[in-house]
Amino acid sequence: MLVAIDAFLRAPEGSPEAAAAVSSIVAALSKGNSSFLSVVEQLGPQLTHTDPFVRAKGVGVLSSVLLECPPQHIAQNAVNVLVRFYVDRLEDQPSVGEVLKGLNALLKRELVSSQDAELVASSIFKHVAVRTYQQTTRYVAFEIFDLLLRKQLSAIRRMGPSFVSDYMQMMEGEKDPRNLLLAFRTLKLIIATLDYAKHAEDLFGIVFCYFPITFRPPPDDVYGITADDLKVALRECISATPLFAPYSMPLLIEKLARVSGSAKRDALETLTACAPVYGADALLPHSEHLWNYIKEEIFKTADDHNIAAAVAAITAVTLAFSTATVSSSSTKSPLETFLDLAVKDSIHNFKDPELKYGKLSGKMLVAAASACDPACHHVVNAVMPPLLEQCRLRNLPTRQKHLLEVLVEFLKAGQEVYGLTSVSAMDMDDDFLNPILSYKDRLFELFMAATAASSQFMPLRRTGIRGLAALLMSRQLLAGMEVDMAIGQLNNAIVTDPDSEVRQEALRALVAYATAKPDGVLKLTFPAMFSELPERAGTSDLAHISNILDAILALSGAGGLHGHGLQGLIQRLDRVGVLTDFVELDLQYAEALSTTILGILEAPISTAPGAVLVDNKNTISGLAEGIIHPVLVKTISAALAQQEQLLNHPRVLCVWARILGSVMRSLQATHQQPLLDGVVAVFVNGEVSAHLPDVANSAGVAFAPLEAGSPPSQTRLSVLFAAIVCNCRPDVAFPAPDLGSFVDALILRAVHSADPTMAESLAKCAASMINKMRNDAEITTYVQRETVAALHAGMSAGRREAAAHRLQCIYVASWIARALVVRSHPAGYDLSSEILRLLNAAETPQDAQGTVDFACPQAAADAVGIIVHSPDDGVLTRKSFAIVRLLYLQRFFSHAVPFLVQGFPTASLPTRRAYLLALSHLLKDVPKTVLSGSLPQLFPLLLFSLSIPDPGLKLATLETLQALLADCAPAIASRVSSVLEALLDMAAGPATGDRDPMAVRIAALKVLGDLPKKFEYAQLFPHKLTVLARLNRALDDPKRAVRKEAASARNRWFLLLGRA
Amino acid sequence: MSDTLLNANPVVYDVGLVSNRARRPEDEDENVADPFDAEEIFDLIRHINDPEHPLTLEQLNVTQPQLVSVDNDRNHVLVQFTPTIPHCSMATLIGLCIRVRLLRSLPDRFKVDIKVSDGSHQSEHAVNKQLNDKERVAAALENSHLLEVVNQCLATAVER
Repeated sequence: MLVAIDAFLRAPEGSPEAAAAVSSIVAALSKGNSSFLSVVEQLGPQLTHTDPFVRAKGVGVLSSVLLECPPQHIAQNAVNVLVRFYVDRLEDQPSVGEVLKGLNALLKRELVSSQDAELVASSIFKHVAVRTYQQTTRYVAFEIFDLLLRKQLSAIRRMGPSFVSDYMQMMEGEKDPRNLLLAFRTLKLIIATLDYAKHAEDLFGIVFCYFPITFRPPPDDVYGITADDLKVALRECISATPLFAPYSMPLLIEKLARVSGSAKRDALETLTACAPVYGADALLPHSEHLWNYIKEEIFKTADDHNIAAAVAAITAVTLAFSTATVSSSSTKSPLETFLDLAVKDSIHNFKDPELKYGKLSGKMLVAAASACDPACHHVVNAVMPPLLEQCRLRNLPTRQKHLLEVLVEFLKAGQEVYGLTSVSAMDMDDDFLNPILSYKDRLFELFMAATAASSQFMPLRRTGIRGLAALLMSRQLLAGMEVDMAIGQLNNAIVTDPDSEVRQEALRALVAYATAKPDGVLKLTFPAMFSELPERAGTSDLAHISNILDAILALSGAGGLHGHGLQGLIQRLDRVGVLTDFVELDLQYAEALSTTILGILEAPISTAPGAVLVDNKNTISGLAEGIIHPVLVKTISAALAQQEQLLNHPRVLCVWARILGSVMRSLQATHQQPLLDGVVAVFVNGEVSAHLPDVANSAGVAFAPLEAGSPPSQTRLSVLFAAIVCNCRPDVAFPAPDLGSFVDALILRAVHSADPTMAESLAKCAASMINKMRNDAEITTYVQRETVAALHAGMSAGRREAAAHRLQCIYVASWIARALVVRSHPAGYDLSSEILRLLNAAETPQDAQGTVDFACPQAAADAVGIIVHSPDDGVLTRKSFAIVRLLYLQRFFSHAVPFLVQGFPTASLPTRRAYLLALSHLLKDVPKTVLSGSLPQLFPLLLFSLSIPDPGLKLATLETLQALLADCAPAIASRVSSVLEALLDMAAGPATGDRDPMAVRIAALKVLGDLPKKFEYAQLFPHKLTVLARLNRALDDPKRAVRKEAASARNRWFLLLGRA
Repeated sequence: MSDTLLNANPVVYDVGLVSNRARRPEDEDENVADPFDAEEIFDLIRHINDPEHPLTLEQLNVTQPQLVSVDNDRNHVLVQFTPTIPHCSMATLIGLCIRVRLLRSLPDRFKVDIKVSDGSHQSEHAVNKQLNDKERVAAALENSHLLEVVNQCLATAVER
């Protein structure tokens, strides 16, 4: 014990030795070897030393131990003694800092009794002139009082009002932001809990002197306190009590009049915070000034944030006025007085609605109207008639548009106060009637006229659509026929409007309405949309069809329209799918229909609270039956009849495989099992008629789509088989007597298949089944089988004539490797090591002449892509219930990087390409934060790939660079100069023939333009002049798209400036 | 900013958000050179912020596509702009913003003339002279305060 104390005393403050000494003392106390009082006894000589700094050090030991020691080891009697001791020592100036630390520690542990707490507070006030100490000591003092107010309120209450004045004295003149933040918090507590009425004015003075806050954090700030933190804390103090109102209002008004910019915004925000607390009585004398200064700010400022703050202030002030009691002396209520002022001041601006003031006046009045019911009534009744009159008078579309915009805003204000259509009647009070109701007919008429196709001015039509949307979404306004008419008009806009912005606006309106009330949209919009879909594409406009399909997709996501959208599209596809004499357009049409079906199935369904559902997610299992069986029947029938139907075209089948997969994923295991059993029976055993009796098979052809010898019309259906098999949940049992030999058969067929689609389907099935095996042991047994060994052998086979076979082996092996790698099974790493070795052409077997086959490294690079990318159809990802271990990508990444880094430098030039390709696959998927660790090793590869003339590789690398910049720019910082050089070579290369393609130039310029956003001025300024000079050449690029990017990048570099 | 704005209540025009250039198939063709045209120059300057209002020059109708002309062969660009009021003292500042934006965004083979459109400003001649005097433009850009104002006005244009 003594040793430790001695060590602490000799160690400099804050050193690790001191910390070690403290923890050894605390350990002794915790073990019960020693008591706290004995520590005090042993410190005796230091605590009573004549040298004040030795005394302070002694107190320091005590305080540090107290801070560390668990509270249960400090006995109550020791606490009492310690508090007395500390209070006595408050007079010993050099020790005060340590003493306060000790008291703070005791208070934090809640060990101090109420009497002692009172003693602590009064003694600090009495003996310590806090203001004269350094910042850390003052901070501890503020912390002590904060703790006292939180935990020892009764003790502080006993001290009476003198506490408040003493505290104010202590706080006066405080300038440090850390302390102020704490002090403001404490003041808020004081106002909330203590009796400060006598000191209100002084208290206000001490608070308001900090307003407005002009603090700017120093450049090397480590405390992270922002001006906004301080502003919010101060604002909470100023708005803490209505007693401040008489002092604060005149000053706030003065600030509103005098200051500008962010200080004005601060004043406005403070006003917004104060208005509800101070109440109408405090605001009333100033109402005219308030309105004028707020208005002035809205009209004059060039900053959108200030406008938003001012608008919020109007709402807050209006709301405050509305709660005022009407005094008998005046005929008008305060609210009316204020609003009359506002209306009188604004209404003349609507005479010229296209001027800036017109729009802003509307904004202000809308802000007032959205505050509450009486305000809404007053403003709407005062403004609506003249506005509507203006609309009647001015038929110029540009003016009309501005007026309608203001009207739309008023509808939105009404929605704020009286609720949306989507809110159920239960939650809203129907005692209040929306004042707009009286003007509804006229508004409806105006908006309908504006959307009519006859109006040539696009912005007017757009505003009309917005108006109809706002009417539809407002509670209480539209009824029966009007709703139908409005929906009809919106349908019309979607179908016929030539402008895409208007169509989008109308669609958004309908989707919002459908989320609230699906019925109307189901009744009117869906028929209108489906009637636009032709029986066959023929000569019709595909762009129009894709617009309609997008609309159906968006609407089906809303509420309960899901099933109806699907049903309609499937019916349409049934007609289109049976075409046999189709052309490219028909094919695209069928693809678009199928893709939309897939989109509907995969889109999340949004519902508004309280909306009535027409159908719900549960029916999707019903849909499953309705989708999977029919499509199997149709496609198999066509395949058996050898008919080239549209539905059986590989491109359409590919989408349908995704659809089947999506439906499959939404099913529970109990539903999946019979489906899987049936599909296996049909596809593997050819038992078509037993399981799908509807299939027409007049010719009696055998169905064997998984046999290599079958006609292509059958084998292409293997994608459907894969979709079902790969998306099974793990607890669905595969109906085969011996799973191992079944997977063997799949792999063998995949390896020997000439049809790439079939090979892919079969490899995916096999991989998915291996991945879903019950446990790692089962997998280990499986991978020791001959088939997997044959794959290994096939990859390294030496005969030149077997090249094609080797590529096929690599392909299949890569899927198996992915299945194992995502599970983090060791066999996966064996397999992928084999693949990674093949990247090097020297490793690939050569023929007798020694010529190297470069297809093999290329295939190995592609294989790396298969291993790391999550496929689009979700196979071998969590989505399809594959067993995926956390961080498998990271693990695979660190497994693969050494192969790349070691193999690359020795590889021949053509082989390097394979390495870089593999790297770009890796980089695309690995989280960029993981990447930053290996970046130093990989950077030479990245730079090299920017220097070889391969556009695809360059693009991939540039993409990686951009992602790296976004996520972990610091990792690139040290290599900025070499990156810049490479980028500039691409962006502003020679004007001759060997210039990079424009896609590369654009991508390089984009990265160049991102740099100034991501790096400090200091890191980039050495290069600024070079970049600007070289980009000058890119400005004269022959392609416009490149020039645009060059101008944007160059301008950004110009704006890269040091701190002013 | 001074207490009273020169034109506090200007007309605000409706503008589209995106370039109204129609897409052509040859835009993607590497071998077809796209010459500079008025619309391209207009796209560069339309989003410049007005020094007085949080509105762009296009919204205030200060810049218009038909007031820009390009002659690729003679390497000449002429940009005319219309101040919102004839006594606008911001005209030179607006002109300077356009000048700086084009200095930074056009290849230096172009000679750029910037003028207020005919009859739209009281001291048309003086403004035009000032804007097309190399020395005076260079001198103005030496003034760090002025440059800061210009950069602020350009910031919105750069991010489009």
